[in-house]
Amino acid sequence: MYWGMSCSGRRVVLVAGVLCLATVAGCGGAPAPAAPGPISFGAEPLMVLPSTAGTKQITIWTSPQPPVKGVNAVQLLVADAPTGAPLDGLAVQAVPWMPSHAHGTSARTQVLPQQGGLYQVDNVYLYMDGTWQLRTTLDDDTVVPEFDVP
Amino acid sequence: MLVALALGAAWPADAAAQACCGANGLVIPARLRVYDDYGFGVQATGRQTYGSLAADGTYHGTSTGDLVTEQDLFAMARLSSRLQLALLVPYVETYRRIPGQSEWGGFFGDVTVNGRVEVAHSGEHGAWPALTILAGLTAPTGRAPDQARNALGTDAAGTGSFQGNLGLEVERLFQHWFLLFDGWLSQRTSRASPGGRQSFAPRLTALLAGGYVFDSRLAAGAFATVVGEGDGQDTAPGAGAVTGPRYATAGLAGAVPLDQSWRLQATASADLPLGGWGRNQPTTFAFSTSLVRVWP
Repeated sequence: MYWGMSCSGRRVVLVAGVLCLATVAGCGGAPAPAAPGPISFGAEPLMVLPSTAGTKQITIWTSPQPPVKGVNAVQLLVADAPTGAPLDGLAVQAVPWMPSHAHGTSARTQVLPQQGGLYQVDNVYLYMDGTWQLRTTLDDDTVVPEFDVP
Repeated sequence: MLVALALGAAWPADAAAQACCGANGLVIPARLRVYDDYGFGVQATGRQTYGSLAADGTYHGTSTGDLVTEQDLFAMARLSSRLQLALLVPYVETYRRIPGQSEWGGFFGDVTVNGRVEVAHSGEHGAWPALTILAGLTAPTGRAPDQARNALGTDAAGTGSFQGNLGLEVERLFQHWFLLFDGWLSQRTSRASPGGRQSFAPRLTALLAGGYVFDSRLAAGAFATVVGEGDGQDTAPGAGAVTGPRYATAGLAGAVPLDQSWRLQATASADLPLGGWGRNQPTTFAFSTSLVRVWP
């Protein structure tokens, strides 16, 4: 076996080691992600979808619209499909998910129920380019809007 | 995976100088020559995202893509004249920018164990190429993005599921030249998704590498990989079809032997930013260096 090493070899090892340690040290925490500006929903919705069970109609806006890489907000208008009557008091949860890579995000969304069937979902953090789903439960029903983040 | 493939192509230092040896490592950059007993190494990689390929294959450039650096520690041991094992432990750091905020973070990634069964060595059966069976297992020891603790998720360094690999390597030497083909199949285990469980189709990877080894044992080469995964499934209501990623990468590689036991290697590679050559995948430019010590 050969255990020795030349001087030039040792120098290369030392430089490589220092580079590795320097990059390892570059980690740390940060405040929770925040929306880059005030949340504002336009008059025109981004999309209108039926719920999975077909009993509800969900009109969807985003801020900004269309959604961007970073922190977004989503507004849902949930209505009874046959009558069009707004549905208040639903238990709403929303989780971003990137199906092609099978992962979600580090941030948790916050759902703010409002009047007239409106629900605002804050802190929708879409951190990479690609197709994202916002997997949303509405009591025992669901809706899955898809957003393409360029 | 991609970085491992890229570095793998930088393994030809002793290929022509020692006809007994191969020109590549697979999955992890840890490969012993036939007369090496064991070894270890470190690989440092920098990867900059410069765009992405959408689900329909359309390419979009970006100026705010992630910068990822990674350090892999690996060790390998020869258990017999035909069998060697390798272990790789990665540490991944990410620099991420979103409007109004940026963050550095890092954590240990998914640990991988690989085995190589050398069915036929180069020159053992006349002009027939070397043939090696490849197998590997990756464990989800790193945090998946949805398990990250940092605000922007920069401490995510894992996939959240196990993955098994099985493949074949064919290698042919022509004096100073070498040509190598690797093909393998990967399968991830399913993982929980919001409201259901997501399962994956097999992923097929093909790697073609070639190069030249000088009398000084300095080596240079080029490589290309194509990766494709079929459509998966998700049991969550309304989840729809899951289209797997697909991408192609090309790069250059070089290796410099420092002495009989140490070698320094480097690669530069890029995912091809061509419409229709990929889908559901960020495109990156990567540069990696590695230092390897073996005990013959």
